[in-house]
Amino acid sequence: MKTNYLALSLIGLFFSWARPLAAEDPPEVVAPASVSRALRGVAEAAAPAMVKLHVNRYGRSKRRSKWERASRRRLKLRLMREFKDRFRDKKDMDWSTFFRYLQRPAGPVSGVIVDRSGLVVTSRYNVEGLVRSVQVELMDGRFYPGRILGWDANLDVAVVRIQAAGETFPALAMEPVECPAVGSFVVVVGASWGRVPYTSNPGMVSAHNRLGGSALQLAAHLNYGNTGGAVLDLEGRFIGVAGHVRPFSRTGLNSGVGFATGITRLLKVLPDLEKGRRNEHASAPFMGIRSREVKKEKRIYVAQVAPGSGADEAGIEAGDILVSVAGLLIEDSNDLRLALARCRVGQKVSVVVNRGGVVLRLSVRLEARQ
Amino acid sequence: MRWTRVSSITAVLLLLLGASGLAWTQDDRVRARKEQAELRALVERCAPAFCAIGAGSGVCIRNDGLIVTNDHVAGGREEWAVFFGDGRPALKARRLGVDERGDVCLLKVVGDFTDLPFIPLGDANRLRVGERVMALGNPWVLSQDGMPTVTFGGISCLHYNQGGYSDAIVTDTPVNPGNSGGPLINMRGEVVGINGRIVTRFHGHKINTGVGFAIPSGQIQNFMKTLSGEDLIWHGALLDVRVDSSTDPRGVQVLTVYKSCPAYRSGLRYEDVITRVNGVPVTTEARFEGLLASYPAGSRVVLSVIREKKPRDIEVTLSSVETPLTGIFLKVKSPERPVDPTLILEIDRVLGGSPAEEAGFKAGDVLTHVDGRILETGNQFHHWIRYSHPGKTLWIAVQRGDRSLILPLTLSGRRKPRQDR
Repeated sequence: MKTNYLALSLIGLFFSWARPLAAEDPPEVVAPASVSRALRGVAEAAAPAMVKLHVNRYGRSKRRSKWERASRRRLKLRLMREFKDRFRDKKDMDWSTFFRYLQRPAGPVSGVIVDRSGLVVTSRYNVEGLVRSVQVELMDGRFYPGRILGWDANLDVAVVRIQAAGETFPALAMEPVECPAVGSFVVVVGASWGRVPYTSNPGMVSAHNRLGGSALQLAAHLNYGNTGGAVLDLEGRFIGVAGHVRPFSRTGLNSGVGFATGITRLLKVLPDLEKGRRNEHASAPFMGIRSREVKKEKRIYVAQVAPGSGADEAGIEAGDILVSVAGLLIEDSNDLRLALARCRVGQKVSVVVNRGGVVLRLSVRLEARQ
Repeated sequence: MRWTRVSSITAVLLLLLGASGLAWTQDDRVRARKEQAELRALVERCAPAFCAIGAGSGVCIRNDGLIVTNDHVAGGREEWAVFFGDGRPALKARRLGVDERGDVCLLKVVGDFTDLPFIPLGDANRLRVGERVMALGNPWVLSQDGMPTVTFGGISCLHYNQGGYSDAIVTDTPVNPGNSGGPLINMRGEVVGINGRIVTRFHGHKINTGVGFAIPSGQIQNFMKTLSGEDLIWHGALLDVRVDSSTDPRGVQVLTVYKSCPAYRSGLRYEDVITRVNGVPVTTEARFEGLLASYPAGSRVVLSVIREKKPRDIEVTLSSVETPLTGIFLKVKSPERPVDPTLILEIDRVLGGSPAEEAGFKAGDVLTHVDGRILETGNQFHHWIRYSHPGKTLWIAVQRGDRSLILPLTLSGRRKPRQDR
């Protein structure tokens, strides 16, 4: 009898090991199932450190402050002022964009605890604007009041402190991990409405060095709810915070292009943000000229030069024809825009102009638009 | 004895559970890592051959710098600054050829290069629905250093007739404005398509919805010879052949085939069931037309046909979807209809700069023969022109006074003068 059991157990063992081998896919067919299973494990492990931020704006609370009790008209004016501040350099600002900006999706937004004392990192967009209070909900359902400490609008990162003295919270380890190569699997763990504890959206790394080098580009389903959530790689390492949702996008849909702020950039600014630093938006590089396009001649003339600007210092004059900027041939305003999009603020670029038949090569320092 | 049995069964069960569970999780992670490593290697291999062209994308398909992109990306200008994905300084590229209907543009890097990074053109006909693909592109013009955006997805549908993209690959790979002209790459690292269109329901606001269309590499390969040369691009069609897919599940059945048309002369008959075009299964009328349009006019394609339960192959020469231009205007002597069949086909006038003028036709010539066939009616002449394609030379016999002449008429396309953007 005993030998029978031994044989049975051996056979059982054999089958238990043989199963995955037998289920192996043919080599040219990839195994998305095992990838998603592996990523699900990663998300489950990271979930306790996720929080939902209930951001209280414009008078949702029962006790209303003085300005909240004021008329709708005053509220609207104030919002408009805030909106104008936010989109000062945006040319396509109009009423529809304004209303879309107001239409922030309801419900909680995501954050991730990065320190056991209760430090939460989230997207700046989540806590932007006139915030009355922030409630932090942990995965186990506990609520704590939160305080916004600081933010960096360029990195789209904000830091919130959970107001609970002496308590410890589950946190994700912040280690300076090198950005995973393009083509790596990632999972974005975020908050969601209702009783669902967290959302996990698998995706890939699409590119590095986006949005002026501040962001990692992801092809995952990033949306209004899960920005601010943690991005984790296949090994379960915390590699960034999802962010850079475009609030002025007209469709409000995910196009398969999402962004995250990398952990190395985050670690650099985190001590400052904890101390209360608030970095606002930097603008696109600007030469200091106003151009005039002549489509028939395929030329761009300098119409005006801002006094004291980089173009003025370099000696560009009104009436010059732009030949090339930063090594790119300029034939229309689109060319100029594309050429400047490849540059940074503070960089010196070579500009070739044609002044009455004389071709001059000048060096122009780019600056932020005032 | 009983206790031993129970305990040993439990032990075996526990062992089984533990072993299988361990095996699964380890296997998942290991397989996922393996796949990740493969994808990373693929990206590393393919990304340098990506080209950023203006506000769109392109891909280098030959080591001397032959670049494929969309017509709506690069068709509007002669010269372009091209940024390769390996971050080298911009190279100058010149437009070689444009296929407006197929939305393909061919560029060539100026200069003698032999070591430019490239991805070879693959065979889109070997794709399967559900196969994973990768797209390289520059959506929303995000790239500042020439490095492409890499997105992954699957093949949703093949041989989809979407207007100008008559043989399109449908993919759910995230493809957005700026991805236009970028390559769709299979897991073997070959270009299987050029992404060019997306379906979107937000009027005027283009954003990916999970349905993108790519021009298959096979179509690009078919048109490569004409695109590289000076010739005009015309897409193929079988004129005066009407088919219907509702009668036979195996393919499309011929409802109408004119006796004068080239398909009839090649052997296509009424009630033939066309099952394949050059090996690709035909299911609907739209796909049949789309497949034909993915070949240039004048090329020969093989139709697999079932006639009276017997399969056979018929090779046909494709006409052009657009009527070729001759520049000959015939004189109508009788204003009444129907036109008198015994009408003498006299040339009323010849269009300036047209092929007819180049061939030496003059007003007052009387047309008698086309390619050795006696010309009887004006309608006949019109149809014979329709059935041939631009670039074809017809030998036309005319009576000029008391002399007979045979003149070669090389047909051309009706092309609108295009303004450079």
